[in-house]
Amino acid sequence: MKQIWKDKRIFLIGGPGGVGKTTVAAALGTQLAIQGYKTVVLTVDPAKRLAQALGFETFSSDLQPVNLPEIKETKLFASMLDTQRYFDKVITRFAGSEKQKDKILNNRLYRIMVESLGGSHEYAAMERLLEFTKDSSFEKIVVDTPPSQNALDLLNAPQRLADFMDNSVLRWFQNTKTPFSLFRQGTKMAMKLLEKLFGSDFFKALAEVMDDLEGMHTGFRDRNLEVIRLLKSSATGFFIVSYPSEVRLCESVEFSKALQEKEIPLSGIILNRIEDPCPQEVPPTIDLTPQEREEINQVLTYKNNLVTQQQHWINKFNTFLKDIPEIRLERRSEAIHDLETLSQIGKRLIS
Amino acid sequence: MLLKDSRTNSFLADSLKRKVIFFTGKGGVGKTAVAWATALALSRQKRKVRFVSWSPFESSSDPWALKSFGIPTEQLEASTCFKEYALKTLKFEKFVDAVFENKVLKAFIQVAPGLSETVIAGKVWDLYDRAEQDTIIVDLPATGHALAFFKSPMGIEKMFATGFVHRQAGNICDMFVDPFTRLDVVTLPEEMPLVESAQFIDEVQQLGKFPLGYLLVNQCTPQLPLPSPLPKKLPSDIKECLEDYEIRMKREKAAIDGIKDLPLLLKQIPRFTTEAIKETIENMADHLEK
Repeated sequence: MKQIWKDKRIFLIGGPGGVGKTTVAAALGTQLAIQGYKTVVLTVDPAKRLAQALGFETFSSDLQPVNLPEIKETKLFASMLDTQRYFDKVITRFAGSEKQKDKILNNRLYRIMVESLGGSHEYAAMERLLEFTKDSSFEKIVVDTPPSQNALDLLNAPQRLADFMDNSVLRWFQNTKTPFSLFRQGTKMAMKLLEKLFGSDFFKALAEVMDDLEGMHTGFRDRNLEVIRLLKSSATGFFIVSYPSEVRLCESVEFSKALQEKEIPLSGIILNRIEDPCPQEVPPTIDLTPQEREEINQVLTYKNNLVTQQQHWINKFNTFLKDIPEIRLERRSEAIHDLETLSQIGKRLIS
Repeated sequence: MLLKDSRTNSFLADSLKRKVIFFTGKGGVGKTAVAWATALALSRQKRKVRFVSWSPFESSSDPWALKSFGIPTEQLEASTCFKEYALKTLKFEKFVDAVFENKVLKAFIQVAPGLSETVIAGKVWDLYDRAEQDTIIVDLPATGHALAFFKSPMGIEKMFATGFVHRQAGNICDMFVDPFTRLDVVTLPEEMPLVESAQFIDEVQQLGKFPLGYLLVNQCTPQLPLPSPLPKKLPSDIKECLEDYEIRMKREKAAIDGIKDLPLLLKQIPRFTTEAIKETIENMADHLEK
């Protein structure tokens, strides 16, 4: 077993959607558990993909034990987050009083706002991760990050939420009775514009929600700092799951740059779905009809073209991201829906 | 699969009739590439095409291949569109920059429910209304956000009881259901992306009578014929390789067959083995023209 899997405690599996990120996270978790570590795999994907990969149809609770056939003691846990419910919990924690909490949670606009802020999945995932890190009985924590349109959302969302909760912004919306003359010119005009565009009723309702959120900014800001500290810690390993193609290379390069800017080290790139090499053509010594030979050679050519295409982009990955360790996982022709296959993939990953 | 009245079997012929074509799909299915290929196929037919894309948060890292095809491309962004809209509708020239640099407004644009979506949809409507092009290709974000894109203007009349935005929303809704509009969904020949596409289509149908177009299944393994059964005397490595190919084809077919009674026409796009995305798009456009 390679050192990195032994040394680190938290494994963040990031990258674009559609490259098998969830499967990689589940496979890693399964293998770490087989190695004897008490492991939790956290996913926030509403499509319940981890559940399927682990052979469950639905999860009944947030933290579910997964029994592995090889070992007696339960070592693997899977957690699927209901983000809306979890975000409510966050609000409950940061709210100053029972009354404030109820007022916010019962507000229709609050719900839509949380959704449109877009970062609630990411924020909830990071919150839950913080909780797991505080439970010392978990030796390994694997996070399947939300499938963002852009991988950077994961890093930026908690910050964006903290910015939004910034006291100085909230204050503008509060005390709507304040005469406009007291605002700076820009704010005054902005308020007038909004009122004209959206009508005064809507504007009042919005100001009310913002008013309710008063006093919560410190909580959000502190948690954001805590998350950033955790991401930078030497106990955390950040991995990108990707695929050898032009679009995926561009994304991965951009992602690694963004991590660098935030001083978060990238531990590795996992190139998934790599085609196995195969022979160029049927040897002439083998006796076949001309049609059989032609058909078979056509399929072999197609597969070889795929291998060449991938090799081209694997080389580019090695050029552009040369300092980052790379792990390759082969493409599976069968669907992955059992623990056996997951543990095989996990084994390849860590060896 | 049902063949619906207004659509013909030719993707290109149908596309030539449309004024606006929306593309969406789960992340990572090649939605943007398919949208590009459609734009290219239309522009080869001497159509004036405009390509607009929108991603709700950060701008995406797509390669810029379309620029070399000479098709006007625009990445829409909510606050810029909002500014443009406010300027035009309200004749709000004074202090415009001060207003739009304002922290309050920035925060508001980010959180006001459905505002970004409506403003973007408003911009598309504006282009559609001015009709300076034959076809607008709209590359929407992944399915979850695309749903919000269609939902927001529809729900906004209730949310904003008065004001300009309220009035604008009606126009946008009319554009969505215009028979010259089309909504296509891009997916992969795998079980989960197909199931998720079907769920999206179901939800969109509950929203309203959208002119649904094609379910474009991208990266399909080309259906090459093979001797059946495979000759016995083949070396084991070749045999393995061919069996793997057959399993892949079978799995893809089963996944596609599992999706039934969709109100969209199914169109399969093969997986290309070209290296650069630009060539892939050209190949895809060739295929869509067939």
